[in-house]
Amino acid sequence: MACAVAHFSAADETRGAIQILRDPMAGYEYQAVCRLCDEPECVAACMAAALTRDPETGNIVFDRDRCVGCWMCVSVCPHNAIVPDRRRGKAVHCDRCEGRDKPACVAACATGAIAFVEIEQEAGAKR
Amino acid sequence: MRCRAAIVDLTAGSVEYEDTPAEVVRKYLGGRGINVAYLHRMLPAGVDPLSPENVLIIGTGALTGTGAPNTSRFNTTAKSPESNILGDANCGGFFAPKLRHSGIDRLIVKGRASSPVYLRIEDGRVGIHDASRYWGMDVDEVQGAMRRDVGPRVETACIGQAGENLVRFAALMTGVKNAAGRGGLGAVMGSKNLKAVVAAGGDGIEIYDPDGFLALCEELKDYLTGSTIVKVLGRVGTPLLYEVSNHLGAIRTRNSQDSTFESTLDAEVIHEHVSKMISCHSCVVHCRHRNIHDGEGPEYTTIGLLGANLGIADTADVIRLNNLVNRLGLDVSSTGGVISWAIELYQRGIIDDSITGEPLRWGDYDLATRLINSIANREGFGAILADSSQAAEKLNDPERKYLTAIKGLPQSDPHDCRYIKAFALGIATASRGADHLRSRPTLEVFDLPRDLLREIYGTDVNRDPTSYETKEIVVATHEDIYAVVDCMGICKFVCHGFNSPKLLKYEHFSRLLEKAFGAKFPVEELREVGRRVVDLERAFINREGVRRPDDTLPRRYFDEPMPHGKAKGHRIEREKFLEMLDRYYRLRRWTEDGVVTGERIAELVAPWGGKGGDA
Repeated sequence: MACAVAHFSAADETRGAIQILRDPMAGYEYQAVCRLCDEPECVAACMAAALTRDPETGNIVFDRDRCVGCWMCVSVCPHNAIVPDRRRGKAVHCDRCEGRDKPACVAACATGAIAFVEIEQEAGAKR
Repeated sequence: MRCRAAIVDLTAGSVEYEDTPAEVVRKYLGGRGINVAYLHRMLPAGVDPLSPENVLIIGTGALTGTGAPNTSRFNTTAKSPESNILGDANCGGFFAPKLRHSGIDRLIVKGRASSPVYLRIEDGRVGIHDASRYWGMDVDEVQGAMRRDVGPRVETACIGQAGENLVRFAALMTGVKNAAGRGGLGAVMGSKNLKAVVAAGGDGIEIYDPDGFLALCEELKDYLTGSTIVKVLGRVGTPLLYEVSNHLGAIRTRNSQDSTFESTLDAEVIHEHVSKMISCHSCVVHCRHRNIHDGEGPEYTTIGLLGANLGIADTADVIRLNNLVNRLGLDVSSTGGVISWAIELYQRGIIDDSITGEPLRWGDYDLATRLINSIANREGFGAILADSSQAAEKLNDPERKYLTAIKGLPQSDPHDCRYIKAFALGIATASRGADHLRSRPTLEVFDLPRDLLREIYGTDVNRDPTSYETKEIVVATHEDIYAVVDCMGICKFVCHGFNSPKLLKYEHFSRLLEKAFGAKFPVEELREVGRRVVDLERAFINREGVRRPDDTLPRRYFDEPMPHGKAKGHRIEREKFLEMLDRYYRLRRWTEDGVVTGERIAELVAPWGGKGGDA
């Protein structure tokens, strides 16, 4: 929700780049969010060059204007992390909220389930 | 603030759309407030609640679905088939945000379909669809079927077998256990042949000041998650209240013949049966349990009314009963209250096997399971219990001497109200019958400093919970803010007064409305909304015949002292209760008979522009 408010001025979770897949009857909830794959399938699949990798930061950069709504990225993402905004024919992709103090999802999370850390830090913590 | 209503006539199979008049939104905000404004306007007095003439209103709150903390909630409102007065129940989960994001803020359903139907809402339009194949399904099954048949991301509000069979305390359910439970609104759905309402999505809600709104939400989230009570609720949920009531000697036990019970229902013991605490939409508390017996819950109400009140102590058994009640779509409060009524009548020899078909004993899990199933399916003795308080004649207790109910509605809170006098006044005057959610005066037992109390209540109040003095001020103050909370679509667990003297109050609501919608609602105007909603609900039940004699308590609360614990010996003294009631009416500016004046009603219906119905 916070993601969609930050990017589209709309409380509309279907347009959030982070999706909570849930089925209360089956008893699960799962965060689908971009994991910044080492070899991102979405970048390889994007014919419009709307998705590119920033060689300096390693971020996957999404140019919404170039997106043609073919949903190839949606199909190939192994994490279900790219959202097809079918009403506008554009993909929704996490941009790490560049320009904000911290990503809107991190600011909104009440449980600490999602954090924003540099990759080196995360790798260090794992080690 | 957009406020779009869809008016569905199931008899004609037609749907009309309207923007709720801006002045009505201004005066009643949303949720519970606008719901009762429509109900009062649309429903004449004396209608049979299970007839096509009844109007079922599902309305989201002003902040519902915006993503502000804990704004998942909606109210369902109709004339109640259980009490024959106001039926109104507030509910969380994920349905209400999805409904609003689908472009409809309020759904108003009248008439009766000729065969089972469900409503599908998408992009601001409502479709009426055949639901024959879903009829007979329980709450879990029908929602699973909708995810399969309509779409994996839909959210559904529905009825189970209890609603189909017109059990007078059938709930409207969404998710595994979220219930608009009280007053039999599921039976109203069933009477309209309406199995489910499916919200399929739309464009969401436009936010006026996105950055300001997100910053405010983060500030409030940090404030709320720093609160001790929010942390405790997030860890063990409402069962924590069981020990509080039990320690006081005020947990309703064996139909209030006793007032203390086993520690097997303490929160920490319950927690051994919990796999995860989960949340409603936008929630920072996450007080709902996913239990290891294939369900969600139990809440304090369930462990009280299906546990102590039935004399059932085994933790797993109580959780299994909770899960069964939810799947069938029954209101847990009335289910427990009605079964305990029957068991006491059997214990006293007032009814026997000729009507019950079998012995009714305390602490019998198998019996409780059979009765719950037979109630939901209206079979055997269950068919009698399915009429709730209206079964009094058949149960040979025409004066309801042994039923803990007010205005025909069994009491929800498992707390015995003989000790805390404000609690007693609150349930006696609540607009939908014996109900703690209208005014629960929790602060009475917190031993708060005098200065803080003066700040909260605007005047000095008596700090002794067993005193009758000034309790009318306590009740009215809590009623007003809870009404506004229900209009906003926010959960009471993050709001002032319900569990804490802190948390969100009028100032916060005012700021949220401004950031979300650019709408300016000064604090005093919000306070007025609360008073207005309380008065209009009262005017509605006045029109259905409610007067001063109905604002009373179960006989036992007057006549029998509490048997155990710190509360031992306490009861409600009739004279002092009546004096308290007089003071409450004066504070509310109702007549001595508890009636809202014609002058005030004219004010209340004025926002409709002279089309507000008669006084």
